[in-house]
Amino acid sequence: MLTEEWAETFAVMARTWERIGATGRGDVAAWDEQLTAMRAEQDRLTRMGRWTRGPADLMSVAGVHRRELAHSAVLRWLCDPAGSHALGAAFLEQLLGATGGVTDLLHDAEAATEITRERSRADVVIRGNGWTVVAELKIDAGEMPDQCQRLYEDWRTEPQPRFVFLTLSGRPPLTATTEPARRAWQCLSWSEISQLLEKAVEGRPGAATAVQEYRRTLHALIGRRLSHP
Amino acid sequence: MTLEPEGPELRRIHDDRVRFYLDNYKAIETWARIRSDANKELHELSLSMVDTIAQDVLARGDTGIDVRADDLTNPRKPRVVLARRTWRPSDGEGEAPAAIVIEWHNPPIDKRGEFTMYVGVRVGDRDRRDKRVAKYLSERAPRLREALGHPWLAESESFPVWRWVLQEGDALDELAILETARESAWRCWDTCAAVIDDVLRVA
Repeated sequence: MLTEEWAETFAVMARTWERIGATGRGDVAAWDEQLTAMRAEQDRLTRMGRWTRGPADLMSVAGVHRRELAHSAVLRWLCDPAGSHALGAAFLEQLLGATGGVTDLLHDAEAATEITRERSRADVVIRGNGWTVVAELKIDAGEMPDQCQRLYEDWRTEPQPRFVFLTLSGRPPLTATTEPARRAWQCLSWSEISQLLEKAVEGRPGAATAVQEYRRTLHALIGRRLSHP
Repeated sequence: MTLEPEGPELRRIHDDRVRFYLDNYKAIETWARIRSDANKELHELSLSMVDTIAQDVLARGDTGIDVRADDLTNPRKPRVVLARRTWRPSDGEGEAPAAIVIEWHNPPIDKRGEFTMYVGVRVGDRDRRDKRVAKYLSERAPRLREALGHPWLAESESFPVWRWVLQEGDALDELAILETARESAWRCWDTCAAVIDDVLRVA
């Protein structure tokens, strides 16, 4: 009796196994077709030089491409007219043009990062003859409590202050709580910063290699491929 | 005297699937290595949700909501955190004891091809958890889950209310996934934020 039960069980198992085998063989036949298509796509990408691995800019390779501190340092450098980027005041002109107009005597401008005041710390501050730009940079970090309000309060008495809030989308700050502060903050996206840098680089083939590097970083950050490396 | 070979004759592997792999293993392994690049991109795209959700906050006109990305507290489980500013400790420092969170695994796609992301009410890591808040929320969780309905029916120690964000089909549509996560986070917020307010008042 027991042997008969086993025989039945084995028969069921054999049928199941046969079914699994047939399905598996069907899968493998389909895989061959998919593999051929995938190989063709890989060949196409390889021919175009787009079958590459990993990031193509140093900030991404170093893992600091989404760190606000690293971007603050680069923007400070780009905004320094005497900086070794060889752009002169071109980027600063673009930035000022996008946030209320270019002033005179840009060559006297000085830029600094992480400037602490009574209630706040500004990411980047650029000062010229009779004007000040205070920039707050955001990529992944959120705003600290009342952060943009406190920055506004600490810097609003500067000569002709401009407040620039820089985010991925170009959205307004959440933490400017008064109407004057909300009005004061001008919003820029990283995409716009990228465009400003592109304009600053135009016609300046001697721009430092680090500028080209940063262009790559910005393009990676905003999800675009650099068209002319 | 000549020695006769002993043991079974060596034969090619016949299993169709294994045969397929062995015949194409270079291409398959080359392509499998793309996973690490894809994971890096998926992780960063997920972090970028913080900006999209901040725009939602502005559109809702409720600037009392704090939105931030956190990939430092637990780099293997990064998250985007939504919390009222009033939920944080009174000194303004430290984590809110409860928050609405979109969390994913880093790497997002594991070696078995599973993508892991979930959304829900989080009550903090075990060693830093406010146990009273966790207990009160856990008591209220069944009603919240019921209000949210399917697929919010699971429960866990860290997430009294949560759901998976799953990819259906063979291709991974990253924008569809993030949109589901974002919508789910706001649905969770609309259902649970007032309860968290109450719990924090009582606790």
